[in-house]
Amino acid sequence: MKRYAFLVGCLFPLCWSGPAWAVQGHGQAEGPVVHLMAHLLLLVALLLLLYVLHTKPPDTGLSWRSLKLSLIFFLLWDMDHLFIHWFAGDMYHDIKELGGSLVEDSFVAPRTPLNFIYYLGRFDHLLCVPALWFFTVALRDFCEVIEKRRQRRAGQVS
Amino acid sequence: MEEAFNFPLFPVYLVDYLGATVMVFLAFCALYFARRLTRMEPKNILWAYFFWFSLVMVIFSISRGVGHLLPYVFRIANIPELWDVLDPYSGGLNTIALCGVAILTLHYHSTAVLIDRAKSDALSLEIANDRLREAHADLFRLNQTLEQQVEERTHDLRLSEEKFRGFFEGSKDMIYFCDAGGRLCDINESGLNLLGVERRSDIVGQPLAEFFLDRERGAQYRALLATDRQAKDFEAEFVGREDGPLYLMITASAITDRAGVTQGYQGIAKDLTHFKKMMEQLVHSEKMTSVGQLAAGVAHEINTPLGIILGYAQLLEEDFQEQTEVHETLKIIEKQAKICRRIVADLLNFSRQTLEHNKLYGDINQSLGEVLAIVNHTLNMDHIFVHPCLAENLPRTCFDNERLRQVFVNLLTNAHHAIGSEGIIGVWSRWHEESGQIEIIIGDSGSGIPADQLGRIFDPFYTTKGVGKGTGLGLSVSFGIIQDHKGRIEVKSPPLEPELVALDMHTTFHIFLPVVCAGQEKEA
Amino acid sequence: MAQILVLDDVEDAGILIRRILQKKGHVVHVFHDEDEALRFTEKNPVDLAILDMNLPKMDGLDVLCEMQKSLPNLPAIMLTGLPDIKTAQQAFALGATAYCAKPIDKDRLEERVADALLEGAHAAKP
Repeated sequence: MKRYAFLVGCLFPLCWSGPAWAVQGHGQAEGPVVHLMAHLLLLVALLLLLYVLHTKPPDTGLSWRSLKLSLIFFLLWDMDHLFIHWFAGDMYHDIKELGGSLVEDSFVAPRTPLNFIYYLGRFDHLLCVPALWFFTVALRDFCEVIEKRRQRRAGQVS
Repeated sequence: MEEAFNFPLFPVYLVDYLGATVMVFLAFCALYFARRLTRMEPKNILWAYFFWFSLVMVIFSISRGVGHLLPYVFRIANIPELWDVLDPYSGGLNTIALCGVAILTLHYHSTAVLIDRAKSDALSLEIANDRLREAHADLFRLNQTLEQQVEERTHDLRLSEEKFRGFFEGSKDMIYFCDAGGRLCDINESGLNLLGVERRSDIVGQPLAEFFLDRERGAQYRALLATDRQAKDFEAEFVGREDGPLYLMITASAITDRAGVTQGYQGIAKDLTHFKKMMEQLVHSEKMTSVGQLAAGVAHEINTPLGIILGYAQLLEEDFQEQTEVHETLKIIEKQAKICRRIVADLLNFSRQTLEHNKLYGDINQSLGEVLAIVNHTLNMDHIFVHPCLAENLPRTCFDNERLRQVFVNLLTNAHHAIGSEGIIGVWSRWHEESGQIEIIIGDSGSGIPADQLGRIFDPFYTTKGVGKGTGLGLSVSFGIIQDHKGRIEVKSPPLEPELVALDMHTTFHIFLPVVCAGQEKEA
Repeated sequence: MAQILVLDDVEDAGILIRRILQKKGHVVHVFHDEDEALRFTEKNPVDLAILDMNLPKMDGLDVLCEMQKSLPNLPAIMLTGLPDIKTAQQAFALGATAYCAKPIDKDRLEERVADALLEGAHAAKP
């Protein structure tokens, strides 16, 4: 209960989370570094989880494929953020050209491969949506299997 | 300088907006499934982790979704600067969220390991518990069945003991147990009766060999048991009865322990007395029969030359009537030939086969009375007095009066000879209802009969009288007559009954006749 | 005076009876073989038969039976070493006049013979 409250407490401020830019900039020197460290930490954690699931799946009766896929996407999303933050820094924060309306908004930059990758990197939802999708699917599958198991056991008992 | 490129941001906005909406929806779905999983398997830490993860994702996606609106709201409201102020806070919170998820994930691992360890401990505990429960159940079952088994065994043992005890006590033969020294440990009721002992305690501890009449025989018995460890059908005479010898046939064996050491002896003794008596009587009567047959044959053969001798002697007598000396001689020859004839006649009489001649219903007491009347005079001349004691309740029976009187005469004559002069002859008649027998006793106060002669007095030609004084056939003939009446005749010297001894009887003849009711009603 | 037949397997016994009866004046024929005696009676009538009961080939009573075929109502005296009532009854049933035990007294024999002849004479009279 306490943990719940603590986490909620932690997450509450997220309601006022970032703007339309999925990836945000950090003003002072500490900000970006802390953020990068957080992403790194998440990367390590996700890698570890993936590794454990691959070598010692907790329940051999379940298919971990969807979950692993989801974790891979979460990893990619995290790496994408890392790249965006680390490589690009704040520089691109200033290069955006605000047009009259949202439709006209664009960001101007030299036509380098790095910039192109950065532009692509901005479509990070293309990574985290599949990630969450696979996560949900995995959970749904788990539910089905566990449900079937329980029914079978109940059938056996009765 | 490179050419500047215009990367349109509208697609980005579109993807962001749509993506964020989808994210919210997916996050709620994930949360729902995660909740179900935790409900179904509350002990599974992975589901718990997924639940928290989903929760974070829900809040994260909601906040991002809401966060999309705010900038546009501010931009439309022409206060984009306000977003710039809030921006770092939201960024910071993002970072914290990321850390939170990472720590959550890492925490899950360590917890998972701990949980696994705890699970395996719990499993081994459960296994151990199961084993313990099984062992307990086994023990309980064993205990129950043990009780039952013990009860059953005790019951079986008791039954077996009862069976044995019943057999031991109920057996009409003597069953006994001796220790290794040959002393009696236990003996059954029949054994006590046979040996004439009242209580078991009187006899326990005494050596069995003491009860043998002949010490030698007892020693032989013990020697046999010692060497062969068994004695089968060992016959011996025993001490025990007042009314005569006790013949027992013992079958005994040694009781050994596992090492083969003799612990004691057990045996069964059968009372052969009656059997032996019967055998003796049978042998006796067989002897008599064969003698009888011999006698008949001899008599018959002798009759012929005897007749011729007698005849010629008589012829010559006629011829030599005047010549006295020759005549006297011939007369002597005739007399002796006649004596021979009488002997042969007696012999033939004795050997006669059983014919039911002349058995008529009558009163034995009357016959006795008649005989006594005849001999009384002769006896009184030698100062011998007759003491009659005839039972009044004597029933009538069928008998050959003539021949039975012959028997009485025989016995009284013998009694007379035994006494010589100055004595008493006792005559008794008794009715034994339980055996259906009439007993007639003729006793005398004479010299008595030595034990070694008792077995032979009924033999033909056996006589203690001098030559010429008796043929020795009297008792044999009497024996035959009594046998013919399906009775038996016995001699006791000295008599066993105190009443008889008190009257100074030294020899008693006992005649037993079964009461026969042949249906004839003619008076004797 | 009378014709008497004596049958006994012991010769001396037969001779003795002949000597006793001859003194009384009878004619005595002694036989010790049954067949010879029977052949004799077939041809020669006798007034009395004295028969031993115990003969080697035939029973004395059977001999009497045979004799009675040729000489009915023949008086007979049966002599036996082993007298018993049954054979005595049989003998009398066949018509024997006397049944005597051996060895027989001289005087008794003479008496019995006289009685038998007398009876025979009475029987012969019509």
